[in-house]
Amino acid sequence: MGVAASRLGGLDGVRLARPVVRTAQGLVGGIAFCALWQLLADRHFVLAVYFPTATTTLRSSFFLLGHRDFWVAIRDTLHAMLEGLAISILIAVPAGVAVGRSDHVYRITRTVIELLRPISAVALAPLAILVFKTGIKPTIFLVVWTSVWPILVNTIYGMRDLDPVAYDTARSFGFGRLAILFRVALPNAASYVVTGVRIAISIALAVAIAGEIVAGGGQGIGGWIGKESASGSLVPVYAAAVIVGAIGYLINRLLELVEQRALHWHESLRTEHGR
Amino acid sequence: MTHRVAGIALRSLESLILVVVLVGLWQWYTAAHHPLYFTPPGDIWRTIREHWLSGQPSKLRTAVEPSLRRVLLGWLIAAVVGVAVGVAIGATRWLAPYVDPLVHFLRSLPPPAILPVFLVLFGIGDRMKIIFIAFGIVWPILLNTIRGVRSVPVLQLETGRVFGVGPLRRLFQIVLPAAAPQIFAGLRIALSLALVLMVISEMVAASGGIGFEILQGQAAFDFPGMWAGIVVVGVVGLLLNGVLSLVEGRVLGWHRGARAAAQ
Amino acid sequence: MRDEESVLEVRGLGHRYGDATSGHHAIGSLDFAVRSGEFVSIVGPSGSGKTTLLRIVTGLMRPGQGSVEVAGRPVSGGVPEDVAVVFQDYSRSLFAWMSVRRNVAFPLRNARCSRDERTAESLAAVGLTDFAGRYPWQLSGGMQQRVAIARALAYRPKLLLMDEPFASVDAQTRADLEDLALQVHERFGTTILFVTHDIDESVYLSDRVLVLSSPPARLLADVQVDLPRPRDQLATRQLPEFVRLRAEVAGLLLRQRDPRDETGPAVGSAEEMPAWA
Repeated sequence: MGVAASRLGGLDGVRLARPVVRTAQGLVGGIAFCALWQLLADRHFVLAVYFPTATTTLRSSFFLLGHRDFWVAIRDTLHAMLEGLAISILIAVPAGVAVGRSDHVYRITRTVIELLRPISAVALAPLAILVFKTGIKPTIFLVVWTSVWPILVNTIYGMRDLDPVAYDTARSFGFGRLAILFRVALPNAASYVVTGVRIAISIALAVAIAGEIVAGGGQGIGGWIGKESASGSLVPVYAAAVIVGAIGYLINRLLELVEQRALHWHESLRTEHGR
Repeated sequence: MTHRVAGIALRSLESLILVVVLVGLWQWYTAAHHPLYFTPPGDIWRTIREHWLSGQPSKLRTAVEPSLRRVLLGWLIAAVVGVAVGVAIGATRWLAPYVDPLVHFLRSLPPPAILPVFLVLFGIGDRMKIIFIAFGIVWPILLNTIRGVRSVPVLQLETGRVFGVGPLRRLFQIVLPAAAPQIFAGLRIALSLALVLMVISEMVAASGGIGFEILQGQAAFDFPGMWAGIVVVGVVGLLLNGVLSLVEGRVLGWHRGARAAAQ
Repeated sequence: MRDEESVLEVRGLGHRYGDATSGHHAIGSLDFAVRSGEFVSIVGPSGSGKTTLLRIVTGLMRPGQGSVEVAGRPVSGGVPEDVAVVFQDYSRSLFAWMSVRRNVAFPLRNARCSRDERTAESLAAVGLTDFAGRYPWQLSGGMQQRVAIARALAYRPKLLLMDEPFASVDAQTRADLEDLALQVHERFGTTILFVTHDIDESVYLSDRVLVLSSPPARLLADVQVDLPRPRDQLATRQLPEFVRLRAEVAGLLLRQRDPRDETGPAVGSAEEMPAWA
């Protein structure tokens, strides 16, 4: 009784303490990095407006949080990114299922996919401006173009990676083709889809901002950064980068958690397909 | 034998048929309806042949060559730095909780957001583009190397130690080969990203390159020129990925075999 | 005693993981020596500190107390030069990216020609000459373990440690590998310290069997095995002396199973052979 209680207590203690210690250690690393940055910037190799110190940057980041314009820019960027992702998922998952289900379709489409995939989104930006004019649409198109490929390729791979034993088992229980698709093949592919989506999201933010810079007509973070840097001081660019980096960090960490949940039954390490 | 050859021929025909059909449809539609921004594939090909592959000077020399140089140099710098730092961080286990969040943060920083910084600090020349590409793509290489080095089985390292193998040989003959599959995954992601960053840096700092040509084509209403640039970017990406896959296949042949044997 | 002849000397060895109250006391106190050319087995219940002992002897871990000497030189911190190890987990201890030949040559630092010669000789000794160009993952488990043995042989160790080397192969392969170990011992005169939890195997192979207690480990008995060599899987195992020795070692281990030890399996009668024997 007593032993059990103390064991439980110990375990709880460990559970509470571990993330706290980890966070503290992470902070120590971050502070060390900032100190190094501060030291370098203080030497004034370049003008302070071009390479501000860590303290200047962080202070300015903090002020940015109170700027309405900045929040609007962030909202626009996230909007373009999320809408683009949603469209990509709606296109890539059904397409991936259709292609991955049949060897024949897979062989026919493979070359087209391999030829289109390496065309980087930004190269299509001028075309996107022509077709979609200004506003958020060209950016959304670029996000879709980038995100479709990793989701599509991972979905195809997930469909094709079905364990033949699982397939035969389902067949021996008298499952029909549709039943096998929905009860065996799709659940099996789900974890691959999640991986594809995670890869897509990890680049979608960068592509959204790139799109805004070359095709965004002054919208979003890309547009905001363009306007601010034209004013001669780079401090707002650094400050915004810190916040955008933090947003990206949170998104990536959240996705890793989701992926771990989705993959908990799939212990083995898998290589990532697609970018 | 003839059966096998026929099978291979049939399959490659099958894999090309959709490409042919799509290009044909595109040709037919654009030739019949003359949409403003979409150029018939025949015209794109003629532009590539006349302006990119030949001409005085050809754009192979004035655009493709500088773009390739930027991508390859940026990628090489990122590979060397990413693998070296990644091995150092990955092998120093106590460092992990201090460094991991910082590395994840820096990886999450979208490179285009700091493009103005590189423009101001390094100008608009090749140096800026190479440094920008290297900085932007080093993170996936770094992260994958760290992960790869950390997942080297302890028993493999101990086998090396027990047989009196020194640290340098342990690094080059055990740690790096064991981590190579993950490192290559990082290198591949970095290559695609490098192409994106090359194009955007050439569009923003207009001084030649494939990205510059695409933007020029659009601005000058030279749509075949724009399309030619897009196609060339795709071909460059395809070729670079192909070369990397070849190298990977040679270096990691054992890995694919071992994985297949384990299943 | 005959100090100059002993390849391994373990004196007053003790080790504890963690702190004194909640930690695991793996080794109480161990004293033994292995003479040159001997084949000595260590048996003990699982968790009896056999692995800890091996890690200390190979210099991968520092002992809490006591000392270990290999070939007259103390093992302190560093890895001793004259020791080679065959691990149980062959799939990991062999390098998947090296051919069989390169795996065997890996620890050798001699000049190229003598290295090639030794590699070839070791591969021939384990019957794998024809497989030198293959990769480990192209071979069966038993063959992979042969590669690991060849690698250890090529190193020409003064002391060869084998850590439950045959625990993850099937019965037939296991018998073959046991005979291979005997051949190698015979032909190269290698001193072998063989850790196992299989009582039959320990008696069949060894000159002496060291029986460890459950943790904290100490030496329960040092059983002399005077079975004639060369040994034979069928004939040796039928000798009355073999049966007697096996029962002696099993009896020592069975008495270890204390009813207060809740983690151990149920206690059988003394006559009954334990399932793992």
